[in-house]
Amino acid sequence: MAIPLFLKVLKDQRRGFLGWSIGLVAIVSIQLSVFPTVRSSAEGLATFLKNYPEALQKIFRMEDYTSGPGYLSTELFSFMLPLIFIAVGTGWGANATAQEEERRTADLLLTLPISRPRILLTKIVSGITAQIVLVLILFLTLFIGIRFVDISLPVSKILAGSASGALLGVTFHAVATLFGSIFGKKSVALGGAIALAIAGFLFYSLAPLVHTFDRVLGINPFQWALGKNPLKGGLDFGYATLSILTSIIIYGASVSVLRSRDISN
Amino acid sequence: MPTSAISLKGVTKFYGHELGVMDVTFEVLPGEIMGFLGPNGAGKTTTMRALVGLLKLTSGQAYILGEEVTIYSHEMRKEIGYLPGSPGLYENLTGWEHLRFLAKMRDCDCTEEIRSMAERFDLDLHRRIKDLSKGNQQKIGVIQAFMHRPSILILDEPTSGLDPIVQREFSALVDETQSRGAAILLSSHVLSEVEHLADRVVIINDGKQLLVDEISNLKKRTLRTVDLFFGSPIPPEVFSRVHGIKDVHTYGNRITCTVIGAETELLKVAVEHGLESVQTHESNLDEIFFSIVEGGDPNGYSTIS
Repeated sequence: MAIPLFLKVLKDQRRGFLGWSIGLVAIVSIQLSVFPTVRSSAEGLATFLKNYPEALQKIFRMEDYTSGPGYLSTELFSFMLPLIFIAVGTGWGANATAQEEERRTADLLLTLPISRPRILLTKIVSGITAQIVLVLILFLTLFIGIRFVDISLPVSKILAGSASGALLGVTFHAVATLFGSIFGKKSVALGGAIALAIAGFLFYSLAPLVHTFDRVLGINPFQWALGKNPLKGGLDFGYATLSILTSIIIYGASVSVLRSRDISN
Repeated sequence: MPTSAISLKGVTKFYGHELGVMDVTFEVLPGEIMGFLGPNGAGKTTTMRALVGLLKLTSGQAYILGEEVTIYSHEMRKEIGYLPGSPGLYENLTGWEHLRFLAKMRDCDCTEEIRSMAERFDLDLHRRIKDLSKGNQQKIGVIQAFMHRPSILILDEPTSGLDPIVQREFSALVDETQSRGAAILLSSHVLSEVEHLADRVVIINDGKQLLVDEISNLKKRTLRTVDLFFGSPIPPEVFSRVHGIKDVHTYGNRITCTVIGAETELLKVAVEHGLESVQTHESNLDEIFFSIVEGGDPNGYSTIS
């Protein structure tokens, strides 16, 4: 790893990352602050949910909405938190090399006496570091926050829930990095990774309703990260391993592509 | 014979079906400055980017200090200072931060070199790069290429955007770098600058190498106008049998003609007819360049002499 580059990436991204972190803490805090009202209206909500279209209940995994873990799963882990992890991941992935090529800084960076794989691996490590820090921020926010609203969750489940976001973030960080390595354009890297993320989310959300989508759930990163409801069941070891291995393969492909192609100017 | 610092053998690069450069072959010796000339789109930048390993050659080989350059090789780049044609800089950084970052990546302190060159070029290192003029950004590009005292310099349009005073300082820096034995490949649109700095030039056009030669040889092989002054009028027919001259005209006691190659025979005949003085108007590199590139027949040009 090239330490000066690693530190430079962290420094360059600090403002954007700070913004996403504040957003994450704010969203979690706001949702937690609403929970006492939800719990006190459990009876009314139960009636409301009973009349809620079954299809929507399935899409938003709304079972057990009035329990602490059920509420957090529905309100945070089904959409908002994955979105933040994926946004950070795709952004950092698209910046890895595509931005350097577009801004022509790649001509200086890639003519230093450091191999292209080492440069890209440094960028990958910095992106993974950002995901780990986000996990820590989310973990601490939940760990502290649930105490204020009297939700009981074991530390292992909070950690599993937080880590599930990073599994998605890292996967789509890898995808954006790969598109950037192939095409050298930030818009393609970002757009391609986000399009895949949206497709994955739709397939995952509609799987309870569409048999075809349900059949391919086993290859969907959203299923790997969220399918077993990490706040209740913890992370599925098999799925987590599959997610990590997939990311490693995509990162490997990124390095291989960048290593052997012309750098555009 | 000294080992080449830079050597290209049949370097060819296609972008898909589009020609970048074809069969470029030349060498640059340690302590030599090679001018690299050609119109826009001729293939200069492609050749230079291939030399620093940014492009994969379609065929041919490029060597730096005897080691073959590929997109996989990186150790040799310790010895290379490269200034891209349009250097992309980290605009959110200050000049100092930018140069220190590159120095750290090279595992080089370079502090003294950065400071002294910034002073020499009158560059404020503490302003953000995005707030600097194009000329000042170019100075940062120049400093990053020279700061680690490389033995090979590959400079693509290095004086682009620099004012005349800084250009003069740059020329002095290049001279000093040459005197410590570095090999320099330098492309420029300022032909007078290349004429002043370079020992030899390579000229390419439309991706093809037209010639490589010493500037002094090019001048010898180029048409020159000669004025001959006599004590009394001389008939132009006197010079009709002299080899290598044409366009002979008489203006009273003065005869003008154009000469290709040596002037010995012309002067011998002129002296026999009472030559009093002679003035030779040599072509400069601009004229040579245009005659070669626009003439389109480097072989014809070469065989004139």
